[in-house]
Amino acid sequence: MRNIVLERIVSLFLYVMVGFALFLLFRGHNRPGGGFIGGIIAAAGFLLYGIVFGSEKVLEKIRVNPRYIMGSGLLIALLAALIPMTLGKPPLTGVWTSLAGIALGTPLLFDIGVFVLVVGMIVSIFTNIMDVLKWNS
Amino acid sequence: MIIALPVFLPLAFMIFAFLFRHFHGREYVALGAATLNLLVAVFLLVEVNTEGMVKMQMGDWPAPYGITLIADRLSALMVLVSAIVFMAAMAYSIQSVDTRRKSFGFYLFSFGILMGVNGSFLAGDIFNLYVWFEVMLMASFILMSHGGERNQLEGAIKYLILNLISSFFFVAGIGLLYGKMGTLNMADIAQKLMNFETMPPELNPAFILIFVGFAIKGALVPFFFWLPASYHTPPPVVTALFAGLLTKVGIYSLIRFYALFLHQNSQFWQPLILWIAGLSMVIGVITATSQFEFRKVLSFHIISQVGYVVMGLGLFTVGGLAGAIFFLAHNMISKTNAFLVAGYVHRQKGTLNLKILGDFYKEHPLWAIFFFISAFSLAGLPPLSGFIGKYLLIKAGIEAQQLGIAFTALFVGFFTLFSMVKIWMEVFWKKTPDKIPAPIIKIALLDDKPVNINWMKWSSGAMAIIIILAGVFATPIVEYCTLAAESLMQPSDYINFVLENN
Repeated sequence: MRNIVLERIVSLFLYVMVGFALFLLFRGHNRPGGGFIGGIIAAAGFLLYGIVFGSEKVLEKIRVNPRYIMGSGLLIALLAALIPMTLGKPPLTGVWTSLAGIALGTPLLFDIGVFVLVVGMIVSIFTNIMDVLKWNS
Repeated sequence: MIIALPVFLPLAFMIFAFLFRHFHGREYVALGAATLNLLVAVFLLVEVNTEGMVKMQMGDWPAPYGITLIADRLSALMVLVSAIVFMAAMAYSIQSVDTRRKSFGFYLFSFGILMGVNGSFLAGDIFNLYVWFEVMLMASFILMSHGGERNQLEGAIKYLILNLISSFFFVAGIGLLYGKMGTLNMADIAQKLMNFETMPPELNPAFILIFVGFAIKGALVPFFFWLPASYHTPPPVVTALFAGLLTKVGIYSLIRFYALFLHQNSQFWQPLILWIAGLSMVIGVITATSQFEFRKVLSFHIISQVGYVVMGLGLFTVGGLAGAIFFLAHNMISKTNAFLVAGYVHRQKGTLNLKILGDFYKEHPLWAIFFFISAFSLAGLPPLSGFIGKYLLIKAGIEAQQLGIAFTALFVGFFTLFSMVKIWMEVFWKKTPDKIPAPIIKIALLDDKPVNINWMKWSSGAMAIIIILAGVFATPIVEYCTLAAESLMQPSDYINFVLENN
């Protein structure tokens, strides 16, 4: 049975969750937050969406195969480890630049990598479980 | 810089495997990455051998606060030998693993194991060591259950549950240790322990929990059940990889812990470890002789041979440790090769039941020679590498006045020879029995199209040649192992090297 109110709320709420996740991701360097928790909250948004609309709609919504999301998350995190090595420092050392007054550095890059990896991983797990349970309303 | 590469190289390959899932030459890319890893390991060994130790502080945080990667002679040798084992397994897998498993991430998770193993050998921080153990456990669990056959899942569940229990013990011990010491950097803990006359008794629970964790990982005697219950179920190349790498990581960590911490309480630990070593040797070899499945015999033998390594550790003399290190390296290569031959037998005959098999020498003499070399190296016949290892260990045992354990080792050697001869007679020598109905020979899990087996032959042959060479030209290797043992006996060098800030 379709529930129009629930569907509208959930599809709006997805954006709220992802937006809040991004907020936590960027806030995470000095205050509570970070890539892992942000990734979990974003994935929880997709999970809510999936419970109401089914796993196929989630995959339509994110457009990319979760496998590639996981791969690129690992790649971003690896870059954060390798960039300091090209400057002659040990891997994972924080390297900072400033862009229009905002300090940007490899720790942020690493956090973004973790965020992307966690989203890809959880979406991949729950879409697979939903397919096994035939949860496609 | 080179010390970080054994960790980052497998990670880079894993990213490749995620992003290019349908790439058709993935076998060859994996083989290339394994070759690169071998090169890195060789360079690391050369650098460690000239400088003594190499370290790197992750993220440029100084030692007790950040995560240290450190390679001394022992870890560099272990990284090199596991790179050789891994490369042989990758070459072997090209023609022995079916396309379905390959496209479902066989190479991805194999490199996960490599990353975990290399990381454990290089970790200088206990919690970091735990994390590498988990990386290894997850990747190996997936490989174990990969393909989802019925008996395979049964083995995988036992494997996962018992290894999770081991991780539980290990992490509980880490928690207690951190509560007492306030640090988890191995060198820092060892330095703080040196300030005490005797080991403070508050630390014993932590060390016993960690010891039990390592003993489960390393398949030592009271805790070995998971190994023979699971190693005969996955595809042959996976078993070969596990037999070469996984238990050895637990034993390596035990050696590291004993040399840094536990030897300060040696009146408690030394008899315990020697008893466990003797019991592992005897029980492993006796249960092995009663088995009638090729891979099960070899699996039980792992327990017995791990006992030899722990015996060298329990003696804790330079000679004993050198013998243990040599034996560990020898065993990784010989054991893997024995499992690789078992994989070929399985592929040709469709079964590994010793009672049904036969005539293999007549049909495939080259493979019979490969098996002969690795099996009799395991049994300790000269001039193969196993002879040198056993000779060093028994000599060290007699020199250390531990005649009981030395004679146990000799006695177990005869039983090892007996069960290797049993495999040889049953599989390679005797005529295929007529009365027992031949099994329906299906080339299990392989593609329909016939493939030649040159890669399998080359990888197993190369391992056999390495076994012979390591036995004939053993002198430089033994010298290297003696240097490694000497630096293990003097942990102050290790401690100062990690903690000094440059």
